[in-house]
Parts: sequence; C-alpha cells; structure tokens
Amino acid sequence: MSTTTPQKKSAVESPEQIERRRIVEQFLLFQESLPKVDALSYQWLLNEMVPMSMAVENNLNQLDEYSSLSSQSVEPGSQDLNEEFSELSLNKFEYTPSHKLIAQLHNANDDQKDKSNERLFKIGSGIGSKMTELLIFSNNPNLSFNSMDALGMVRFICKEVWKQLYGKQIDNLKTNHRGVFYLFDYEFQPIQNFALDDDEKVLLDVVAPYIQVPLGVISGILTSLGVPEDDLSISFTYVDIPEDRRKPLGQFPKGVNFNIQINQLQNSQD
Amino acid sequence: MSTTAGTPNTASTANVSSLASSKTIKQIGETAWKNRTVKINAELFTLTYGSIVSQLCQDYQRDFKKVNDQLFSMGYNIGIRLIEDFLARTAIPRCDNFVTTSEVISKCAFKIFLNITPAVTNWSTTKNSFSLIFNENPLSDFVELPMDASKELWYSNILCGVLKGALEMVQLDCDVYFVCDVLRGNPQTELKVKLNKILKDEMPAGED
Amino acid sequence: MIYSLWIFDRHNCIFDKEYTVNQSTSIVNSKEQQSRGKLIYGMIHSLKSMSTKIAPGNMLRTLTTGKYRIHALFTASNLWIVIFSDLTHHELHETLDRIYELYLKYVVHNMLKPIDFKESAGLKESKKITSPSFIRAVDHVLCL
Repeated sequence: MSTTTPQKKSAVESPEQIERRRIVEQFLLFQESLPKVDALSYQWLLNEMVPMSMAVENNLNQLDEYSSLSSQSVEPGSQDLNEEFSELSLNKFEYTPSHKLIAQLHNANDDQKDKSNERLFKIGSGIGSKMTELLIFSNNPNLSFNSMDALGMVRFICKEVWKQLYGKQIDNLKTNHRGVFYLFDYEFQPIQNFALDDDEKVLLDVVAPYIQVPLGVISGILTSLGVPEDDLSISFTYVDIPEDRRKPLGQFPKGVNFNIQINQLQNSQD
Repeated sequence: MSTTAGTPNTASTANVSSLASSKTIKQIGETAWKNRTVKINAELFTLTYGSIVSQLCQDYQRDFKKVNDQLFSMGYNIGIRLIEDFLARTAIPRCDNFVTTSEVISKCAFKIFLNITPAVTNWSTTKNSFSLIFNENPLSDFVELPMDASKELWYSNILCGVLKGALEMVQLDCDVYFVCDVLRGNPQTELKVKLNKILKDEMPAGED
Repeated sequence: MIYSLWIFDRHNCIFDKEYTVNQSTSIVNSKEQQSRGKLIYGMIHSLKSMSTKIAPGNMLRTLTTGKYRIHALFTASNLWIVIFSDLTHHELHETLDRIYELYLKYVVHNMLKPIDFKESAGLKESKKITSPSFIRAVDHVLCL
C-alpha cells in the first residue's frame, strides 16, 4: 500500500506527519490485536462454496422430484413412502466428493448453472456488504468513505478488500474514467492450485463458478457504498499473464480481469 | 469403503512416546500457530460463514434440518482434505488412544485452524466419547439467531462435518454432533465426539 | 542418484516414477510396476510394524541394502512417500517433506481432482496422480 509507506528518508518530520504516523501505527497495532484465525481455514471455506452450491442444486431438484411424486401418488401406501423418505434424509448424510460436485456443475444444464452461479454471487455479495461495514468501522486512517467517488471505491476494493480476502492486492487497475473499470488479478488466489489433465479450455470453464463469489463481493461492496444495483454490471474474462509475472510452475494458466461498469457515471458524461 | 472393524483396543501401532504428555501437544499447537500460520481477521471468517448459512436458509426455505445436513457435508468435504494440511504442519503421528486424540483435536487442531482451544470434558466411562465445550467460536461470534432458527438450526454444524471427515482419514470412525449451543439459548456450546470403531488399515488389493 | 519415487495412500499406490541414468526414458505410473509396487508396500509394511514392535514410537525412516537406500515418510493418514536411492544419499528427510508439500499443493488443494483415488475410480478417472505440474515439480525437487 503506497499510502502507508512510512517516509523514513526525510530527517525532519512535520508535527502533522508525526501525528499521522502515530495514528497509522496505532491502527496497525489495533489490527494486530484483533482475534485471528488461520488463513488456510478461510480458504477452505471459500473454496468449498462452489461444490456446496452444486450440492444444494442437487438436493433441491431431488426435493422437487419427490414432492411432484408424492402429490401425484394416490396409492394408499404413499404415507409409508413419505415416512421412509424423511427418515432417510434425517439419519443418513449424503456425501458426494467436492471434485465430483464441481464436475457435475460443469456438466449441468444452463438453468442449474445459472441458479448455482446466482447462489454463489449472492453469498459473495453478502460478504461484500458486511465487509464494507467492517472496514468503515475499522477507523483505518487511510480510508475516508465520506468523499469517496467511484474510483475511490474501486481502489478500496483493489487494495483493502482484496488484501483481506485473498492476502494480495489487485495487480493492475485500468479505467476509462467514465464508469468502466478493469481489475486485473494475475494470480487469483483461490484457484492457483487448480489443474486438470484436460485442455485449458475445459479447465477455464470448470473454474468459472469460482469467480462468481468475488463478482458478488464487488457488487456487495459497491451497492453498500451507495451505487444503485441497477446501474451496476459486473463480469469477468480470463486474460493472459504478462511475461514478467509468469512462473515456471504452480501457477494457474490465466489471470482474471474483473470488469466493473457503473452506468450512472457513463450517462452523466454524455 | 471396504474397511473392516477393529475394536478400540487394537489401536494403531504407530505411536510416538513424545506425544504422551498433553503439554507437548499444547506446545506443538502453539508453535504451529505462532510460526507456521498465515493469519486473517476472525471477523472476516465470521461474516463469510454467516453469508453461507443465511444463503442456505434461504435456499432450503428455512428447513433448518436440511441446512444442518448441508453444512455437515460441506464440512466433511473440507475435513478429508484439511487433515493433510494439519498433519503436514504438525507431523503428529497416529494417537495410541482416544484421550490423546481429544487433546490433539482441542490443543492442536482447533488452536491452529481457529485459534481456540475448546475444553475436553464429559468422558464416557469407556473413554470412547467426549465433549468439546466452546467458550468462544469464531464461526458464530456476535451471531444472533431468529426465533424459528434457534429451535432447529445447528449454526456451526460445519465443524461436525470437518471433524468427522478429518478423523475418518486417520481411521477413526466417529459420530460428531452438537448437543447444545449458546445460540439456541443453552448455557454453553457443547459438541460431542463419539468413537464408533477404529478402521483397519488396508493392504493393497492382491489379485495376483 | 535417485532410482524411483513411490507414493501410497491408504488404499493403494497412487504414484510411481522410475528414474534412469538416461532421463528420457523415465517412466511414470507404469503398469509394469504394479506388482512391484505391491511388493514394496508389503515389505515396508512389515518393516514398519516390526520397528514399532521393537520399541514404541520407533519409526522406520531409512533402510539400506547392498545397493539401495530406501527413504520413507509416513503420515497419520497413512500416506507413504518412499524414495529409492543409491548409497550416496544418506538421508532425504527434507526431500520427502518437500514432496509431501507438493502433494498438498497439487493433490490436496486441487479441488478439481479427487483426494481419495479409490472412491473416484470412475470410468474415465485415473487411480493415480496424473497432474503434469505435479510430475514436473517432483522432478524439480529430485534435481533432474
């Protein structure tokens, strides 16, 4: 974070600088003192959301099938079936391994994919809006939400939000200054270890649901900071990793470009 | 899984004497947390889990039993993988009895992953089931449940799944479930771990 | 010189790679090695349980024969990493640890692939670790 770098070069500091440094240090100390958990636990939680979303989809479909079955059934024995079914779902826990759920999602029909993506997006947006609250009340001296314009909000996402969620900042931010922003993350952290033996196209497709959560987070942050939901459109594309950021091993083959469009701003310029 | 039952007495042979004292176990946990753990704010963890639970409640139209099941199987899928992270960081060998296992869960596993050490208590006379009492729980700190949910939802049920999955990977077939939860208005949060059987190590199939 | 690397999970051999002087002929997950894998598993299993019977907590780590040295890492989840080397390598604990780390990174943390190969032995799915990145990273650790 360029703004927090203490300026050690100048020998003489103005009282304001000293005061500011003191506040920043105090803030960092306070952050340090907050309860912590293992970042890896958090990553497991984030990454298991995608298979979970598919599992929910499966369960809901099963329920639908069952309810249509029981409403059609007029046999006297249908009551027994009912009881048997509810007992099953109570005691036996359904287990499909994560990688299978992810594959199922990849092969699901469009309707299921949409529903699953929507679910992930909504979880993300819930995270985003709560994060805004958290960060607003964190008294971070580097953040001022009062006078924050769209660029400021996006910068806040690139730095603070990404850092908290993924332990790194967005690598590159581009904007046309008329409401269109491109956020490049060349090493989107949750998917870095993901690989398949198939060709890259399949891999990118399988991984796509993982990007719904951060899309939701971005949406949640921006709407909770006052951007009307209808004026907002967010999408992503995969991008090539620039030569100087490429690693020989252990890197996901593509970077992610998060594309934010705030229509209000576009119109006001016209 | 083609595993055969063993009695708890034929506990696994791999046992390291250094694990005998619970002080060492505590040290392993604390050292790993201090030196080998990247940390994040617990609040972020809490709010993320909260978003998941609330989405599930919506998806299952407040059928909280289904939410419990979903959280459990989500946890199970995490547990069977996360155990390897745990073993890599601590290099803890198989425990030679369930009492040691309970200490490792409380003082190492919970310490490293969630920075808490739930108290181990309520041992059964046969020493095959115990309770973990949570005075703090980063999944549910500052959470309040609405009336309907506070009767049926086990808010932190993902923990049961994680433990179930992780223990199974070290050949311990257990039942893991919440007995009570402060979120439901109970005086404390108690999670029960009950050992069903010790799974036998497999030998690779020898068709030839 | 490293001769070969074997990884066993709690069910089976999930990875094997043989190194030869001429690297171009190194063999991964070969069918021919299946029976050999079982022999190695059996041998190590016996020695492992014997060493703990001699003294509790006494773990098998290396084993030397006339021409080979065998290095092994065992986890509580019953994952075994076994390296066959010549006699110039006295101990390879660090190397074994690094291969365990690679297993974590490329197998455990790769949610698109199974962690338990037995359960996911579907039609298409391999029962072995096939990730090219894993294989390359392993080669890198074994300095080839």
